[in-house]
Amino acid sequence: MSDQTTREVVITGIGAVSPAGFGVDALWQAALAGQPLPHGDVAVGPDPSEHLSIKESRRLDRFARYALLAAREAVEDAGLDFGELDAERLGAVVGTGIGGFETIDTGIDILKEKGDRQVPATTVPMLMPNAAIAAVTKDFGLLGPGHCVVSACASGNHSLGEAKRMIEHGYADLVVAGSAESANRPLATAAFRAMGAMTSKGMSCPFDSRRDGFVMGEGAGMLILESAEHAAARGARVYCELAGYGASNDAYHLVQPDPSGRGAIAAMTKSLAEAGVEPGAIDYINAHGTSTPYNDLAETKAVKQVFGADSTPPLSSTKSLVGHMMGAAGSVEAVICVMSIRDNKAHPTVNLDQPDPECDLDYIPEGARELKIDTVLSNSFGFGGHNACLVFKAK
Amino acid sequence: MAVTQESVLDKIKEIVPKFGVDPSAVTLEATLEDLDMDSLDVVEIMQAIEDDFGVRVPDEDLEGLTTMGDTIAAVVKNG
Repeated sequence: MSDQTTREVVITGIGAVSPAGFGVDALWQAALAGQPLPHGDVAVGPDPSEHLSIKESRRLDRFARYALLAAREAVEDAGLDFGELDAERLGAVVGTGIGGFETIDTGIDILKEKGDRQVPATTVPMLMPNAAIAAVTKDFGLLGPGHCVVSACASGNHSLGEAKRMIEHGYADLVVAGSAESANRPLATAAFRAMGAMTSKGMSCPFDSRRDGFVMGEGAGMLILESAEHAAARGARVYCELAGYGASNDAYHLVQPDPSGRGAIAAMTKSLAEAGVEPGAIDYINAHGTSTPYNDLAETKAVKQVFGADSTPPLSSTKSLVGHMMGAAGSVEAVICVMSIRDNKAHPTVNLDQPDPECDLDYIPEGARELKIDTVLSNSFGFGGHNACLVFKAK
Repeated sequence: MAVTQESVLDKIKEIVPKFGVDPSAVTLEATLEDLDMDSLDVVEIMQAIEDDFGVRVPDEDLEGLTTMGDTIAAVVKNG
């Protein structure tokens, strides 16, 4: 924000676990390769227990395991030595869309099969949405402010935006921020299928005329956000600035986007204003791009209103490559934005072979593109009508 | 199954690997701290024992337990 009372926030570390595998490198290489997902409506992530001890795994739901692993990667990537930092000034924001679905599902099974006296005492502390931030703060001894942001598929962007606020207003100098999700359980998949949100064709094809729902993904994205001064003082490598955050609500419908795009436009516009950039400065947009009929059309229309039908920059959908990681999506896509700026490359939108005539923008269908990328907008829109957009700027 | 010190100890040794604890470390003298176990683990052990032996140990009998021997004695007393 140009306001002199706020502090500049930079990104110094990134971590991710996704259906592409463990680590940022696996995610980014898969994204650039543009390999479509196998046929199906769920893209399963790697088994997080492979990298955790039995003691760590047994007290953590699968979503929290993902969060912890991605956080450890981000911390290592940022070269952090917590022993040298003031723990009271270190915060965390770890969001999720749902929380511990594995624990809910298995708990219900135990309750039905064995009765109430056999339900594990760990059920509540494992299913609560803040279980992931509890694990992350304990692992690194982060004593500053922290909470869990829940806003469905916008949870990731809201988490990063709220972490940005903590730093720019001086409540913390460094925040471990991101989000995680794992909902590949019978209750969740049955419910998403019942509402028609997941694809019946087994394909994520955002902006394509055949799109009929998302492929469910799972995993986590975590980033290290710091005040620019804090990063400089410890000689940290800086990827880019997290320059803008804009949020709004549709106040329209529980699960459908407002067709006027009012809320989405407001969130995009606010994030650009906070970053101090004109729409024309955006080089690439990481779209929400879910592959649902409603979202992709509403997003296309909203983007055109902000940028102009003939002057919208290229945009692509990470969800076409790793599925819709729901609460984790925004933070994993933030990792993608960081890599796009670092490498000056934009990943493609795959399966876009039969474009919807109403979705007529440049979605990068042909494959990864070399592109000078200094400034990126990332969109996330969640069930409930929650919108959150972020702007990343090269340093 | 008879509720004896030996049978309860065997049951506990059988289930501790899922807690990340080596069964050979489970002795009557071993403390929960030695085994890096906490009160939530004790609840889980008691649930397994109730499921297997049909023994329900009242909460007041679980207060202040420090060793495996104490824990097993609380089960046997209620068996």
